[in-house]
Amino acid sequence: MTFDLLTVSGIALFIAFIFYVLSSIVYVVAITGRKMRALHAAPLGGYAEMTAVDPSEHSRRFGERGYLLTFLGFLFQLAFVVMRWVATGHSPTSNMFEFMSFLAFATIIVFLIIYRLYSVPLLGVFTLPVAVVLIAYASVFSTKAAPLIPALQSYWLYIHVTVAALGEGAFAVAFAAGLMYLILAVRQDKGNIENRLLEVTIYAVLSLIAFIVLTFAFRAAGHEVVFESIEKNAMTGMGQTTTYTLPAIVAPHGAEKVTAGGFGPFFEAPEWMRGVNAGRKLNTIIWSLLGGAVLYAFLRLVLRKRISQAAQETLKGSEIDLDMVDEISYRAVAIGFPIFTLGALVFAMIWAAEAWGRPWGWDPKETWALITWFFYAIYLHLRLSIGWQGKKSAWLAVLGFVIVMTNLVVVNLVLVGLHSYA
Amino acid sequence: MGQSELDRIKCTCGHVNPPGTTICEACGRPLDEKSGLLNMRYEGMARRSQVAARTPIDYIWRFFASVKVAIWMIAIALIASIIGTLLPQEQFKQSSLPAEIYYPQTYGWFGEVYYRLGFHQLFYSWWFITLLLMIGISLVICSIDRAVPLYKALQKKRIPKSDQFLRRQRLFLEVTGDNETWERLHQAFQKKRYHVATDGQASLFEKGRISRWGPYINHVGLILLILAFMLRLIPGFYLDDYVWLWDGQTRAVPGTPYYVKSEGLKIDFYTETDFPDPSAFVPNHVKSYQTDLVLYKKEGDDLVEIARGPTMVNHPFEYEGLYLYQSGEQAGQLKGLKLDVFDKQTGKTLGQITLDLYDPPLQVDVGGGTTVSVLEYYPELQMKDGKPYSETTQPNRPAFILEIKGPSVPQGEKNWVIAGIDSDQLIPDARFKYKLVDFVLSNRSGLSVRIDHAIPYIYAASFIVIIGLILGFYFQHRRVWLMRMENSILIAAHTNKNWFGLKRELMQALQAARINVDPEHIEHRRKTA
Repeated sequence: MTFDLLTVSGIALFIAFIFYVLSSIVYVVAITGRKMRALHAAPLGGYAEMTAVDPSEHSRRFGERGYLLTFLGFLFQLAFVVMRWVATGHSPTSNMFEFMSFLAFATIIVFLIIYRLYSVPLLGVFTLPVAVVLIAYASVFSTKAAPLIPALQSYWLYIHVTVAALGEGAFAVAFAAGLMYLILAVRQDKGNIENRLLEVTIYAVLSLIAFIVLTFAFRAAGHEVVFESIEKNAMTGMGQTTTYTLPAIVAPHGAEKVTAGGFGPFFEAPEWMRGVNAGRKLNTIIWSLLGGAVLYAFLRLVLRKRISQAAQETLKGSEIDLDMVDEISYRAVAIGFPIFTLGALVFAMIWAAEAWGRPWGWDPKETWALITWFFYAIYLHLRLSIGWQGKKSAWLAVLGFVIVMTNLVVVNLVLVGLHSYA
Repeated sequence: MGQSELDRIKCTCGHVNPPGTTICEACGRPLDEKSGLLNMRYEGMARRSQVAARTPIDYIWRFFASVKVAIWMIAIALIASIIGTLLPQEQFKQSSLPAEIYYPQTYGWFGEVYYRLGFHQLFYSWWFITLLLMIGISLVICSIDRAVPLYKALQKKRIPKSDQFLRRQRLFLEVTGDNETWERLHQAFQKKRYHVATDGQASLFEKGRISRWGPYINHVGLILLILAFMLRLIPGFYLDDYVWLWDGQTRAVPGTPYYVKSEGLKIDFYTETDFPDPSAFVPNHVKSYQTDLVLYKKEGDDLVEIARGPTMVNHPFEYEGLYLYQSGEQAGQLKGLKLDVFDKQTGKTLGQITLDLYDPPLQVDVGGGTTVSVLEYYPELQMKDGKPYSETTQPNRPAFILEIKGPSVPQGEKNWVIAGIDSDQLIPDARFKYKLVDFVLSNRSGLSVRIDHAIPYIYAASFIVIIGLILGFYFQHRRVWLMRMENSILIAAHTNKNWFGLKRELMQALQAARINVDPEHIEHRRKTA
């Protein structure tokens, strides 16, 4: 019975994902289609009413359609959250799959609110893909539902994690708006530091996408390479094994390939990399960066110019009010900051006091929450007291979300601490 | 304050303003000779930090009152915090090795440098704590420096007499209109729940002023939060200790007059039916860790029970502010050895003795008047220069020197007993042999012992921070000024945030007052890139 519910919830998430993808496309059409419409005054379809549509009306209409699709996606994801909660008996925030998809959910909620306030279709062009990538990234992790370990058996799991995710969702929207501002505002007539940094940002996103695609592709192909450490356990005579799902470029330090034949490895991880599965993580990072490079090179070849430049040319002329984009990014931070403080710091302190007997202990996750908080505090002071607006502020909004993701991904998966449960 | 009369700024209206004022306190005329948008920060009031520094206190005040300095301090704290997470801090290193060996051995030269620079205890280093305290001082001084003049300015409810004040606002328009328009505008803004103050020729509409206090309430909360954490320095306010308990063992609770006994550690595992998806079942998935505790107080030589109950992860045992947290579990640990005492001469077993590896007995009665004394105990036996010593206090390679005495051996016999080594090979001509019969296994519970009277203050301060943030970010201070000129009405508006919302509200009010303007024409922006 509950097993069925779990399956259905997975389907609901998939439908939500499809809606977000569709909505991203519709938002792109809302922006680019309007340019085409302005260029070709002639009717595109057979409908008489279409001929009367002027560019801003087109943009508004497609913006509304995008919003509707996003809202439908939101409803399906809400159904996913509720069903999974019922099926597992706890809020879906207990492992990387659940948390990352919940972060996408939070991002969508904040987007729905901000979009109501400002109605800028372009915001959807940048925010919806963020949600799409987050859900895809979430799906890389195990989707298996397990009952909670003792450390997570507290109602603070629901309160602390959901509120923190909501704050981080707002920061995700600020990131999307900041990136959009930079795409629009950074000068592209010749290469400069700013547009190169923008290319690096785009390359980072492409690497993440490459990581997701490669993981799914090799998983579907059932690819597996097993390594065994040369140093054997004295008791069992067995070495420690590591299983790669991606082809091996780099072997773990002091290990040999057990799987016969096939690809690689070409070199060994350096000696100091001794963390849990360090070799596999390094291998994954190399694949992601290579994959990102391939995607980037492909796009550059097709576009024959910087990607940010091509994006700017596509979006230019859509009469976007740059100051409004700047304000949206700031407003998202302003909405997110109190929520983040409450969820990621105050509620975290209360839970930590109940679970570990101290509200604050400089655990890496706690520390990174504080680092995030420091960063957005700096953002707000620079903006409100020193007057940093526009590009400077947008760069900070982009960097801020990089810090958020560092806390959510790197700290859980790489650093050692109390939060490395996923 | 030591400010000179020379620095004071006299306005054309006759009012003398303190140094640093940018908008006349009395008439609202901008005191700079520039054009363009007016900087409305702190209402153009003079601040203590703008006085030309004369005394050392002025310099210190000016340093801490600077937002730039505050930002730098936060940025340094941010970078330091990142460094502090690069390698595990000492309390998280999960190794019994001392720090000076652990860091270089595990992380090579980087670990060496990290340790040498003291980064393994970064968050408790003198400089990091000083930095946090300096941020605290900056919070106090920045807040006083700005909140006091701001409070004065806003309490006075200034209705400007200078049209320049209105003309240099970001939202400004001039409309032709008569008394009727003037009245309609008043009604429109009042309908939008603005409070109005008027002196006939000019009016001020205002709402959401409380939003202006948000940052200061938030800062006060943060100061209180730092102070609340410092309360721990008061003796008796804070206790942080740890105790390991074997099942059935009673030990003193460190730092308190109490004793605690473990009635046993219980570890529950999930069964297949607990899994929402049975195919995802994994064995040994822990459901709960629980230790049943009894708390005693010593009265004379007796222990008197004062409380009992379980402690579980997330649900600590509590007694009058003392908390015992379930924070360590060791199931089935080797606790002792059971040995048969065998007499090789007679070929008989004299009896059995049990040696606890954590708390070895001084003497054990074998029966029949024979006793075994423990002369020496080495939990982890090592030899150095032919002399035995123990590497650690953990029973990793336990060894005993035992002496047996009794009717059959009145002079006694000393023997080595080393775990894992047959004593016949060790001392072949000994008369007695200790044969390992069994291990004593037991569970251990690790309990964090905490008293923290600062907790309620930490929560209260956090609450104030949140209130401040909500007021500051979810409310906006909006003001609209109207001024009647000879043939026209000047309308200007200002907000501390969300200009888009204010502009929309202004457009609605103008529409209600039957004034038609293009929204593009009311906003005058700073030049942006």
